[in-house]
Amino acid sequence: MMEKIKGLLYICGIFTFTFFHNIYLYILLIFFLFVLSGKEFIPIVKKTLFSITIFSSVVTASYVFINGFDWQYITLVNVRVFGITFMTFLFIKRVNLFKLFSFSENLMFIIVLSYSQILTFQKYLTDFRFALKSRTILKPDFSDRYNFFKRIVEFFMKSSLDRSKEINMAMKSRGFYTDE
Amino acid sequence: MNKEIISIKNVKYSYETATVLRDVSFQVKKGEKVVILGVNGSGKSTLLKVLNGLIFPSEGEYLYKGERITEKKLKDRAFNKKFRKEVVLLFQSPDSMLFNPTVYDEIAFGLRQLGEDKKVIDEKVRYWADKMGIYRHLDRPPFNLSGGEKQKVCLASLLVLEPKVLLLDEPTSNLDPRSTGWFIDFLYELDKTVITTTHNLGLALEMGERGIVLSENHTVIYDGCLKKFLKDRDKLIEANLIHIHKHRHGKVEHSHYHTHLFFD
Repeated sequence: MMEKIKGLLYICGIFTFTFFHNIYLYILLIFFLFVLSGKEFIPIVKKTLFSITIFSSVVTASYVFINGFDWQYITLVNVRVFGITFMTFLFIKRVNLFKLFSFSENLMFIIVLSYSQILTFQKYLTDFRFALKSRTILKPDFSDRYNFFKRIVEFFMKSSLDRSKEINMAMKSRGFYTDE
Repeated sequence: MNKEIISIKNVKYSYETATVLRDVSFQVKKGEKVVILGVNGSGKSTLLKVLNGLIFPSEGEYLYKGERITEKKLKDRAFNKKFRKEVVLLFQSPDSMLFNPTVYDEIAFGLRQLGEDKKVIDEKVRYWADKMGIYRHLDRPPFNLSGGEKQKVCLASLLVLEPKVLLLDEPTSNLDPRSTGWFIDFLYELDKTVITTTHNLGLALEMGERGIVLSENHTVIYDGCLKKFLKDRDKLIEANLIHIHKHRHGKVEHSHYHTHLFFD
C-alpha cells in the first residue's frame, strides 16, 4: 500500500511541476525533495545534473536563438527539468517498482523484463569502459574515441534487437500471447 | 622465478549496496600461474579489476612490483604507461574489448599508442595473428568473428604488448571444446605470470598449480596446491563448488556430493 501512495505522490509531483508555472512553488518543492533525499542528496544531485546538462543546454540555446534572452522563462524551464529529474531519481531510489505495479501481471512482466535488460546493459557498458581504460596507454585520439562510441552504439542496437527477438519468443513459448 | 610481483594485503572492496571482497590477502611470484576459484558472485572478476588498476580497494593495499597502486599513482603518465603495458586483462566477454574497424587495427591499437614504428607494428601484428591462427581475418571487422576467434583477437591485442602479467577472466566461458583445448595448450606454453579466474573445476588444474579460493562470503578460504584443494571435500563444500545429486546404479538410487573430477 505504501508503494502505491508514493506512486500517487509522484504523479501529483509531476502534475505540479507541469501545470503550475510558478518558480517559487518549484523552489519550495525542490527544497522539500532535498530534505526527503537525506543522505542520498549529493549522489542524486550529481546524477541529476549529469543527466540534464546536455539536454538543458541544447533547449536553452535553441530558445535563446529563436526567441531571444528571456531569463524568467529560461530559469523556469531549467528549474522544472531539474525538479522533475531529481524527483524521478529519488522516486526510483525509494520505491519498489515491482510492488508498485504488482496489481497488474502484464505490467509486472514488462517491469521485470526492462529491469533485467537495464542490468545486463549496465554491466556491458561498465565492461566497455573498463576495457578501454585497461587497454589505453595514452589518451585515446579522436579516431579511437570515434571507433569506440560507434562500436558501443552498434553493439547496443544489435543486442537490443537480438534480445527483444529472444524475449519475444520466450514470452510466446510460455503462453504470454498467441499469434491469432 | 621467485621474485614477488603482486601483493594484495587485507583488501576490501564494496559496490554501492554490497561488499564483494573482504580482507583478501595473497602474493604472486613472477612466472607463477594462479587460478582463482569461486562461485558466481564471489568477487573473482572484481579482484581482477583491482589487480588491473581499474577499481581501487576501499581498505587494504595492492602493490605491483613493490609500488602501491592507487588512483593517484595511475595519474602519473609514465607509471600508467608502464603499468598498462605490463599488466593486461582479458575480459570475460571479448565483445567489450573490440572496437577497432579491423582485426589488424585491433591488434595494432596498443602498439600505436606506444608510438612504435610502423614497420615494427606490422611485423608484430602479423606475428601474433599468425601465432593465434587469425591471420586470414586481419582485414575483417572483429565483431563478426566467432566467440573463439574474438577471444584470440583479444589475446593477440594484449600479448603484442609483451606484458609481464596476464589476467584472464573466465577465459573459456565463451569457447567451444576445440577452442578450449587450444587455449589450455596455449596457456601451458606461455612463459608469463598468469592469474586466471574460473568456476570450472574440471579445467582449473589445467590452468595452474596454485589455487586461491573465494567463498560466497567474499573471503579467501584456501590458498595453496590446487590438486590438494580439489581433493578436500570440506573445503569444496565451504566454497559451494560441489553439490549433492542423485545417482542410479541399476535399481539402486542414492545421493552424495559430486565433483565430476578425475585425477591421475
